[in-house]
Amino acid sequence: MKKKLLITLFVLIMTAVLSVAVLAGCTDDDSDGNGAKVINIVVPDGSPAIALAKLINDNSAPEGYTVNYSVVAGATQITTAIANKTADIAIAPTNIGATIYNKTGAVKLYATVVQGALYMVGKEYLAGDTVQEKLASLKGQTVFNIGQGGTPDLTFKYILDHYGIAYQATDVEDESYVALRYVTDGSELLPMLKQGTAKYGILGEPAVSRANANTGTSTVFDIQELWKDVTGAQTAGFPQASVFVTTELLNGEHAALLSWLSAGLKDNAAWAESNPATVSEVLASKGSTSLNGLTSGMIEACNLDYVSAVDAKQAVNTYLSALYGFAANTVGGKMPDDAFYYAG
Amino acid sequence: MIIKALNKSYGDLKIFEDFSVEFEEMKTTAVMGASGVGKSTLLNAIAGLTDYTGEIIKEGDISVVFSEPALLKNLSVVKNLEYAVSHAYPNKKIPEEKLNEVLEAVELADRRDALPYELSTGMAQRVALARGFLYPSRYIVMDEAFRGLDTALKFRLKRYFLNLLSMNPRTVIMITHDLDEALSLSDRVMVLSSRPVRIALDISLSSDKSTRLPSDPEYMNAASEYMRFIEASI
Amino acid sequence: MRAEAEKLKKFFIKNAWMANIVYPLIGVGVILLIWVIGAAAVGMEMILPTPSRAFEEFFKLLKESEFWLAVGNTLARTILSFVLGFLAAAVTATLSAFVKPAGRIIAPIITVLRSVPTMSIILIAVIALRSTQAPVLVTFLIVYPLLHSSFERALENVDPYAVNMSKVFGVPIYKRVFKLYIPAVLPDVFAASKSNVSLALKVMIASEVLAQTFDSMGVNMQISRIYLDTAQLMGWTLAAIIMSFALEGAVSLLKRFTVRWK
Repeated sequence: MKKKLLITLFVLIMTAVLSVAVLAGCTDDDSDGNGAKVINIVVPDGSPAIALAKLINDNSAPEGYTVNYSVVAGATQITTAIANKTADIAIAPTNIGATIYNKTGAVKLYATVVQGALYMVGKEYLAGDTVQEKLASLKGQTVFNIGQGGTPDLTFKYILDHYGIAYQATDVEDESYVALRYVTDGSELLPMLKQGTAKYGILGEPAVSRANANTGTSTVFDIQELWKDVTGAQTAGFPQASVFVTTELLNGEHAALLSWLSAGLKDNAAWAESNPATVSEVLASKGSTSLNGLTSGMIEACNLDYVSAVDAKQAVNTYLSALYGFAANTVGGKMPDDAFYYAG
Repeated sequence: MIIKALNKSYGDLKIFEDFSVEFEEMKTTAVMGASGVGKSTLLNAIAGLTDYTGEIIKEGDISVVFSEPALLKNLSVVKNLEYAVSHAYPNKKIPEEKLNEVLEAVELADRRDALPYELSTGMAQRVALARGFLYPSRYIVMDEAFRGLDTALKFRLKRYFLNLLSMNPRTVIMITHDLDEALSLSDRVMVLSSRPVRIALDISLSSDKSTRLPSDPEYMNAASEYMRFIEASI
Repeated sequence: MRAEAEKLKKFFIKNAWMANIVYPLIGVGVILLIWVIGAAAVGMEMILPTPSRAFEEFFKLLKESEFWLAVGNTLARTILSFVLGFLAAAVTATLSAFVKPAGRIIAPIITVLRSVPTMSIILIAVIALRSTQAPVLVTFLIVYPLLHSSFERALENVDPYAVNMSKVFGVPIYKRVFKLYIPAVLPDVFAASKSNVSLALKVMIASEVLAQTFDSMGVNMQISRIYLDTAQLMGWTLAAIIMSFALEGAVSLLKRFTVRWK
């Protein structure tokens, strides 16, 4: 009896130790065969990925570096990649970067690259002349958004709050509030708009252009514009996604790499808008699944402006404090301090 | 009971074709025959557990004693009897003296509240026997009711059966593989042959079952007639 | 033989506390041990928090009204879907077992339902239904065919001798139902219910994420996930595990209740 118990325990503990060993056994290699330093850049699929298109297409790396790119499904993979040091540079939603910074201090914000690609599309135009009146006309209607509690949701709620318009997450429409409903992904909303089960929806580019082209909707609000109105004029508008660089690369020894990175990102917007087909192609080759058939218009609507951390600081702060106001965990429990912003 | 022109087949396999037989009232008939000959099909047809064409003329209800006790696990001995039988009595209640009489005949009066798992195989089969006789039927059909019991148990069960039968006379049709069982309990032994089923051997026994012994000449003659038949048919 | 059995019985009665408490505790201990070692090896709360952090977050959640709202909604939907699945399965399994043609019609439907990928049910349901209804439909469609098959098997396993005996003796139908069939299938019905009720909760939470059902455990878990609040996600997970235990416990309690009834 005792013996059996001991054997069982032994087997269980060995299983535990082995499984942990396997988990922890994934080692990383920092240099390739030629002694060049390997830099891995990861980006989530969607509009932030477009910010990397030119760098991927040029496929040039500064002397002494080998650069790999990968497009991954979402922010969770980015976090994992940074945590286990398989990513050195990442483009991520700005608040996710702040969370990683607050929890690990492993990365800093290097620049913002997507200044918001969120739009509200609708099957009907909104009544009213002012933003206030138009938003108020949504009472009694349902607005669909991507991901309850996600940044597009919180941003829209922030705007509604500012104009004093009541809203509620509910299936029941009522004249006294705007009903909010959610889908997990923009692609889910398109058939609903087409069928008419959804009348208004907030989407990110390039889903916005697809909706307008295929489902009979038109853009009724540019969320970025609303954001600017609400928060006051901002140099960098609505800093949705940013470039984050691990602190090891920011110690002054990798200036050549950083200036190459800045240059590539700065030139990206103009290049991408004039080469949409190439953008789709190179991103698909790195693992993107949602960016085929891009057009100049779609890319332009993504607001891919490069703003360095120093210049973007105020806008980022405004954005993050708006999110923080909803829930502290959206930015990692606290507002990031000054060291979050790379000073150059 | 009269069976007229019974037809029954499974797919292309004809088990009964134009089979007729008459079971004498208030007598016990043992039905024998090789495995698979159609004895159980005959029982199922008589008991109404399978469909058939032809005619089975009955003058009353049937009760069955299966080769398994077929007791409800969650009910006591008495509750099992009530479950199967009480609806056939006035006021849906088995008269107490009737119940006691039958339970005493199978020596289970002291186990009336026992649950099936508390009974031995022999006891469980005795409950099944009691149930068959307690049901106010005209016919009792027994399907290898003493199968799988050891010699001593079989001996006792046979005694219970004869005891019950003398108290509650019935027409009994008894399916069995056991020659001794057939010869010691019945008034007529019928051996069936197959494809289609026919009566191949028909032996009548006239002596009193309750006092009949294997050493009686009638028993011995019948046994040797049966053995000759088996030898001839190999 | 008898003495042997008596000895064994005594051993188990004397050691019941050991079998019922100590061994399960060792099992839980092993899970916690793997968790602690794993968390230490990963060394990052965002990826795998320690058990103590998860419990801390769990107790923090207990104080929030949103937590109870989400738990209440998810629980109510799970029970609703399960009860609907149970009733539908009871009806169709009975039909299948007793009416041969009905059984032939139902069988392929069940096979199809069992093999349809959960994901396509979810995606279609999400488009067609409200976010509070879609997870109920999805959970129903997952649980129902499993319950149906279990119930049907339970009915088929009812002692055929007892069934035939009841027919020959002309036992009235209501007596057969309440004395023969129900007591015979109850153990299997409860066993199937117990394993399916916790499955229902899991499916419910997953489809709440995909249907974006507001004020639900699923969406709260997803929000924790997108903000990398893994400790809180683990807190929600603990809540889900406890709910699973509670649901299975409720089934066991019902079982005790009905055992007395029969």
